[in-house]
Amino acid sequence: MSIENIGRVAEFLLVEDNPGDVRLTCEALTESKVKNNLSIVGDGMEAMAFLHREGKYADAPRPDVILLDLNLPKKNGLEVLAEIKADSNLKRIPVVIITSSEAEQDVLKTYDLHVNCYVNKPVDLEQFIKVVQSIETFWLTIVKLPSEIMD
Amino acid sequence: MTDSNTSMIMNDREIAERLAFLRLSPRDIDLLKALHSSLEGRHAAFIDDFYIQLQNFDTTRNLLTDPVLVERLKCKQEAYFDRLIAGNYDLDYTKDRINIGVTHHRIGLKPQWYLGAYHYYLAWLLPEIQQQLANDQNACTDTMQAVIKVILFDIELAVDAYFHADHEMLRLLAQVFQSNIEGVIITDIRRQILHVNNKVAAIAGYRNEDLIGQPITLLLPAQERETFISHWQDIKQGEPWQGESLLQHSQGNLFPAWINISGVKDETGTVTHFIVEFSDISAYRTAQEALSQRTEELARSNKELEQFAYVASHDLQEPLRMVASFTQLLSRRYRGKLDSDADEFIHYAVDGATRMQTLINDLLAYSRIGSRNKPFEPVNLNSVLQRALANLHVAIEESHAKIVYDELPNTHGDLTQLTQLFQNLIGNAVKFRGELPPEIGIKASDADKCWRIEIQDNGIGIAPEFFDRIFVIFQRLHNKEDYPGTGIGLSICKKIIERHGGQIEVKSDRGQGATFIFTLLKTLTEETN
Repeated sequence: MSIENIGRVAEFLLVEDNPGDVRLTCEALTESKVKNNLSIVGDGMEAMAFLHREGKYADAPRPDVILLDLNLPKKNGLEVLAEIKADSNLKRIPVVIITSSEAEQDVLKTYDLHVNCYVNKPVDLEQFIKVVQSIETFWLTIVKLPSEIMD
Repeated sequence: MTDSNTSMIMNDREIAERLAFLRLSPRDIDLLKALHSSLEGRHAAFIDDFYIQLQNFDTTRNLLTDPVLVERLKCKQEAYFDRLIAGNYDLDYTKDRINIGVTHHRIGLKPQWYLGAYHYYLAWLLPEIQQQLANDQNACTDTMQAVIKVILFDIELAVDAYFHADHEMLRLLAQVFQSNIEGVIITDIRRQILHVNNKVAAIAGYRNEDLIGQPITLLLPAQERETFISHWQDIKQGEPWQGESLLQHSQGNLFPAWINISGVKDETGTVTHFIVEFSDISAYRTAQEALSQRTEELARSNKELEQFAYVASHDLQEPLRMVASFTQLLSRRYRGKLDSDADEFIHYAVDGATRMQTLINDLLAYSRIGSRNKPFEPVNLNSVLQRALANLHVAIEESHAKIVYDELPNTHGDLTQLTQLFQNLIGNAVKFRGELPPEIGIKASDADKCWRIEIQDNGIGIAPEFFDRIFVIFQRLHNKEDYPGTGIGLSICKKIIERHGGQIEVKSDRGQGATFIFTLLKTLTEETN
């Protein structure tokens, strides 16, 4: 059983500082067939506050999947990833790195930190939409997520 | 006649003066002429005898090994003695004698041998005279005296000429010593300075008289003296020493000098003097330092430029991705919903953004050759070629290209880059084909330190005036409709080849096909990237 069949809206957290990419991701997800709710934070500190439900994020939902950019202000994606994977309460949430960096060391470092997958932002719009939709389809309709059990 | 004896030629008056001093009288001349005619043709026997005698001594024997030369010398010597008593001692005679002295100097025959010849001559001639004039005691004595007078006249001329030539040679050598562009110092065996040339003062600031009699170490700063003395032991054994050292100017400042020290040996092989030659290399050092600094700066700025191209093309991708994505989104969502102008504008915006993405990707690929390198490893060019052909298989099949290739050698390099090199060149040969299906030949040959690879095609060719342009980044010869592309391929080839220590050139003409020829260094030492 996957999340689309358990009768609630899938929760995405997008950690992305570029409003253009935020918008593109939203556009891609609006065309989606799975009901989903996308929360957006613009930097690494905000992301941690959201996950720990601090301050204004006291009522924040627990995300089913985190989409994480690497190049972020205040606290970069690698630091956010390390903190999530070191936190016993958060480490089971799948983290998808979605970045324009093709640097080998970024790929290796994130997998060393137990990232769940690493995806390059395609340059072409069609491709971008396809990739975002693939991520969604894969994580929401194919994969069995730990959150289904916890709920 | 050489320059060195012209200055010695005397005039008639001087000759007359010399002869008068010897009291050579008209009667002496008459007696000599009488003797001369009585000895007509008899000198030859004396000369033969004399040459037998010369064979008894090493110095003279060694000069007389060639029989042809000996015959010629004998004739000359016969004429010499014949002329000695012929009674005509004019300017011409004098010149002849001076010339002979100069010649002896040139061949290294010292005056002692020459005086010896007169001795032999007298020993033969005096008994002759005694016998001939036995009945006339006066004539006998006077003839002998006259002969001795002209011999002394002769000896004086020849010996003068010998020493004059010797002096001239010394003067010439002294000139060389003085005008040498290096400072030259001659010391005795205890390294006390004996002679210095003018350049020493010019370089080291000391006046000649400040240096004569001083130890050579005067020119050395304290910290260099010990090393120097140790070199001196070798020089004393006869080994010359060359090297760089600091020298001290009379004003106290130090300067770098190139120094050459050698020992002068006497005939027994013992070192008797030292010659110290040196030049001030401060200017050379400064230039060298400036050059290496410039080279370093150039390398750094090149590297920075490459880094800049990389970073710029990488960072430009982000905003460009935004432009491209949103114009595409605009087109996707609003095409046909606004007016026809809007559609056209959107079309150009999408097209421009797409082309710019291609350019930036190409620029990124180009700058990666300099800044994202893999280390060199042994590479088999056959497998490089096979990889390139595999990557090109669609284009090759579509165009029905026929590709013929030699067995290719093993070399060193970056496998990925070499594959790209072959792929770009073969890809071009397919792309720029003419009416006929492409025929591509790949050959390899050994060019000493390099492998030489030729890739020949039967395509549209390139006019010679474009040969330089085709290797420059983003230079294209055709419009995009006929042959798409940004003009990056050959500039990438050139950069890859240069990184592999080689060169690329093209032989072609319009419509004649093209041959790209490149070299790859066989052994490569990894450059610092």
